[in-house]
Amino acid sequence: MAQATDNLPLSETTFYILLALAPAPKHGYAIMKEVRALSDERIELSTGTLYGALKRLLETGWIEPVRERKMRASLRLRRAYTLTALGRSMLAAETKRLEALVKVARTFTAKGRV
Amino acid sequence: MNAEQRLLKWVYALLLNLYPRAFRDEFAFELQADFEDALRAAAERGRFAVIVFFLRELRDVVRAALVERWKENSMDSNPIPRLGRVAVGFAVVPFAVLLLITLPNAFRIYLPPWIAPPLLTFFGLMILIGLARGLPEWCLPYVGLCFGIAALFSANFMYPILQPLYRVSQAAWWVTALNEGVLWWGWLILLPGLLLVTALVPPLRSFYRRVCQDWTVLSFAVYGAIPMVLLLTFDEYLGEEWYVAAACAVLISSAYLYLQRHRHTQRVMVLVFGLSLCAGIVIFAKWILLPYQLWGDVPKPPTPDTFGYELVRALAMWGWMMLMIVVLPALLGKLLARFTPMRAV
Repeated sequence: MAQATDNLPLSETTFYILLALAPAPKHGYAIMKEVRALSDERIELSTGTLYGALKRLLETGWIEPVRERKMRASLRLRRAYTLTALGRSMLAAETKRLEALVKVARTFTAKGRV
Repeated sequence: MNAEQRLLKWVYALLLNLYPRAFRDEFAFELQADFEDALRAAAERGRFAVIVFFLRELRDVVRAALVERWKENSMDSNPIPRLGRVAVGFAVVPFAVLLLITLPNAFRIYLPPWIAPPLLTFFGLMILIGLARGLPEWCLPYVGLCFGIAALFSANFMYPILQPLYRVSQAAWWVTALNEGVLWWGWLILLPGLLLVTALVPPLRSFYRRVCQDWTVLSFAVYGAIPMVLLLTFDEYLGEEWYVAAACAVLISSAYLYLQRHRHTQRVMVLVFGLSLCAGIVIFAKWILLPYQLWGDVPKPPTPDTFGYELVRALAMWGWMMLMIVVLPALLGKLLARFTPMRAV
């Protein structure tokens, strides 16, 4: 776990992308839609931001391309991405870190200090 | 998809060229497919949504492409292998030779003329060994020097073209600048020619592949011609030895630093710095030396106009060399990288 915590905290974009990929593999546009929905339409990823992040995640081995789906209009293939075991553990570690933060904040506010 | 959306799609596809090639090869199709989907979704929300969407994409594509380019340049993912000491030693010889043949003159020790044939034989031998080994980096300054001499001879073909200009205004600064560049115009044929030969001849293809990955090797080859340019610049000058020696020291240092650098940007910056410092030394030398020169059939000191003329010549030389060392190799390298399939590289 030492390796996972070294990379924390994750950026909000990275966290949402990993979260979007957690239930099932998705291609780029599906990730964009999912992130938008997960963040209550607060975060709208552009294609440039998304693929910059996906490239980084592929390089670190947190995600991997899983299958290729043929596009209707052409014979080109469109990749979908899925979380690797490492990516999943990173997501779990970040979730745990955020939970700990929220817990501290709740305890603090419950004591009426904020 | 209407005409407006097709236009936006076209602009977006054009902007993808800002990304590094490796990134485009991997993601361009998906980027375009996702852009198309997102554009269609924005169009369903109305024209204003399309404008907002496209402006955001425009901003982010430019920003992301710059980030990717910066990361690509700052990464040593494609490290340039370091040359051994012997190879570096051979690479700086063409610059050191000028130093060794010029400096004794300052002490009134003149080398015998018979030294020229063995020296030229050595240079020819180095080029032959380099050709046999696929033009490694150490032999590029020798190739550059050889090409410099070829460019000098090819300049004879350019003068008839320039004759009408001389008749219009022989004293105009731009004619002087143009005239200085004539020595370099041959490179416009020689460098693409070299690439064509190296692409076609299998033992030399490793050089062609290196240019696709690092165009600065072409710059280093052109850099090898600078000793010859220095000789031409100080032709008929008296007392120039120490300045030529200083310029040679700069050339040796910059060639050494070039071979020690791993990043392409640093490599080209070293050459630009070396070239600019040399040009500075030339201008300074001419400023100091001009009053002591006695030229022409009837000896007479140069007029103030002479310094202006020599200054324009030196600046023009710097400008042309920048063009041949940075712009031409960069254009050729980028063109090759663009049209040569990655697998072939």
